[in-house]
Amino acid sequence: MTGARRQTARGAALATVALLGGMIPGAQAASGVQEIDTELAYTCDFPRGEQPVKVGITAKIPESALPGQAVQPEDVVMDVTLPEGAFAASADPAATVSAEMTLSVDVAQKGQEARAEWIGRTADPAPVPSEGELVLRTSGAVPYVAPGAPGDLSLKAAGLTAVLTTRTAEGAPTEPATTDLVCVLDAGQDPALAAVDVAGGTTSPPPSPSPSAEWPGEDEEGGREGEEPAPDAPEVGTRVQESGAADAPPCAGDPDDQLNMVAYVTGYANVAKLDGASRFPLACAQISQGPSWLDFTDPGFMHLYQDSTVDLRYQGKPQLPPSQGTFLTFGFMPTTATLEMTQIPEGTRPDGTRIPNIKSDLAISLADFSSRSVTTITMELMLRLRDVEVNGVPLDVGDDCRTSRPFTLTVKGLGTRSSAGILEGYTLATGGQLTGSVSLPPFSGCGVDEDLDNLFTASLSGAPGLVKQVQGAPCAAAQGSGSAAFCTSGYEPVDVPVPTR
Amino acid sequence: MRNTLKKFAMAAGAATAAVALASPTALAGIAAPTWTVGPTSPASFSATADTVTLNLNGIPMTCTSSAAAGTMASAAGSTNVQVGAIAPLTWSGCTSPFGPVSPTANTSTSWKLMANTYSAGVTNGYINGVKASLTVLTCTFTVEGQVAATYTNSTGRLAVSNNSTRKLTVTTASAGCAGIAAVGNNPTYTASYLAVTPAGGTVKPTIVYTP
Repeated sequence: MTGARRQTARGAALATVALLGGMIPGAQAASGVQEIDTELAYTCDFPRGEQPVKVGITAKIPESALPGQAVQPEDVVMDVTLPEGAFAASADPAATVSAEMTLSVDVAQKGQEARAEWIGRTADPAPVPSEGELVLRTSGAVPYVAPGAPGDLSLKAAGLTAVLTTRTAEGAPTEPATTDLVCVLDAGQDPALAAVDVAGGTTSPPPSPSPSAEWPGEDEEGGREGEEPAPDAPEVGTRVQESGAADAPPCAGDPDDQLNMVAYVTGYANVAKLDGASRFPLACAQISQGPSWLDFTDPGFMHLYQDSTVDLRYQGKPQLPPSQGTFLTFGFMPTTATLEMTQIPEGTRPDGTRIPNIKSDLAISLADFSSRSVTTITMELMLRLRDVEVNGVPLDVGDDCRTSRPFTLTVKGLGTRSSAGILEGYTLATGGQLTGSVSLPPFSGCGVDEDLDNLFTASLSGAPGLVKQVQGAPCAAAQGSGSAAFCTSGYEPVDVPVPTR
Repeated sequence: MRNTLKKFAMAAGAATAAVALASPTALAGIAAPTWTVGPTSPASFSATADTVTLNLNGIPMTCTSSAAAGTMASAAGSTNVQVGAIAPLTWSGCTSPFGPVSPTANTSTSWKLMANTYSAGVTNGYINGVKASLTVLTCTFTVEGQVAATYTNSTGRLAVSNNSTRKLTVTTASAGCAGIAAVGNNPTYTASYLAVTPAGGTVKPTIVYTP
């Protein structure tokens, strides 16, 4: 990451008036969501010859977006219908099949094209029926698309490839163990999946986060933010970038500290009172991995517990980068403020070790080695408002306009790993989505000539709001080549998450 | 079976010794015990495995595939005879309860496929010089040692696993591994590789022992 790029990024962040931070909701409404629901016919080259394959595609995608804003398809499900006898050419009878489908999606805007790959995997191997068709349900995270300019953004289905992995009734791999299919879209169909209206402007409307405290069944993990989009070409995001995003704050890890990790965090928060959502600015988290231990007291499971400590870090202070927020005072007056979210770091124990605020519990089944993980992150925070303007007129709130007491943000990340090794949801190594809720306490110290506490308390404090954070994969700077995929050459995290609703 | 073979090997050795004592010049006419690699030797080979597992202290890691390549060559001897060299070897699609992992095989010194006993087209032996490292979060550890190996000519399968003799041992572990992996731990590795010769070819290689 270069100094010049950081400078540019900071300038851009300040100029983005409605790029919201902290807990403050935006004035703009969340954009609508359209549902993709289509079925397409393909012809695939099975070992015994060409066969017809139907592919049903469902997904949710925003109806509209702004230039540069990530358009993230979510809840992508691809149902693939294989013809009877698809595995008849195998030497061994196939009893179960699992699939990895890769659908090429052509993304076009004003004649500029890019191609995205939507990859879906079966959650569990499906039994192969003795007769009739076989429907395989696949799902997975897909890359976001960032339109570079205003204008309709279209998504069209193109080619499809599949890797089918078959096993015998005894669970042994068949011979051959995998079948690779290359499929072409049959002629005479409309391959359009969706059209997204990209309006002018450069700001991001804040979508509302949806609650999620369930075990991962659908992959809602955030896409990954990339470099600034080219002026006119839609940009297709990838899950891992070569370097951090342009608006990522500095976040270097310590290559001399064996237990140090750094990760980027972002997300959305709801303030239920105002029926809106706001985006957390992309922030740097410094993590110190604490002790791990095994526990066998839960019958049938081995628990691996790990306690660690996370501190926000911005210019040497434990806080989120200051961000500009817009909200309504008196219920109707558009008000902007600079928001400073400061963490009150966890203390130390008598022996000098930090009190952990990341607690993870990996429960590994002794029967089939599948596992579930719960990661709980707790932060004590204070929110300060400064540089307030009401309807464009500066309002002097003083230097000490903040929540009257610290408040606790607790978020949980849930993840699973199947006995076949398939991961879903949050993992310690990749991060992912963490959800929870928070209530802002009343404000105090606001106003110089008059007491403005009630103004902000009435607008912002009280009813709990949902928080949906996305944490990127941590960079463990001291691990050298072992963690090279996660760290830039400057020991910053490679993975820059984008917030998901 | 192994005992029978051992006895046979010892008897053959005794007979050879007897002949040698009687007439050193006759040695050239007597075939020494030989491990013969077919259909050609030396030859390259490649091998792939679908699902491999590594279990360390009950913490599982699985990979959806592993690929290896190397060379095979016939060699004289009866036990602990090198018939193959493995380099490189890769794993992909690996996950652990912590998330995805990317183990790395160190084959800068190639791993050695050693033959020990033989019966009806099945060779029992081991792979020597195994060395690999794994990083997850702040934990980086290295394992070194041996895995038991059984090669079956009819299937082209090389099955590898660990037992009380052929062990892998954690030889280094970073501070972040505390509670997860410690020096001296013995992880177990299980995989079944399908071998072809030459590398990328279609023919199942054969290993035959001639006493």
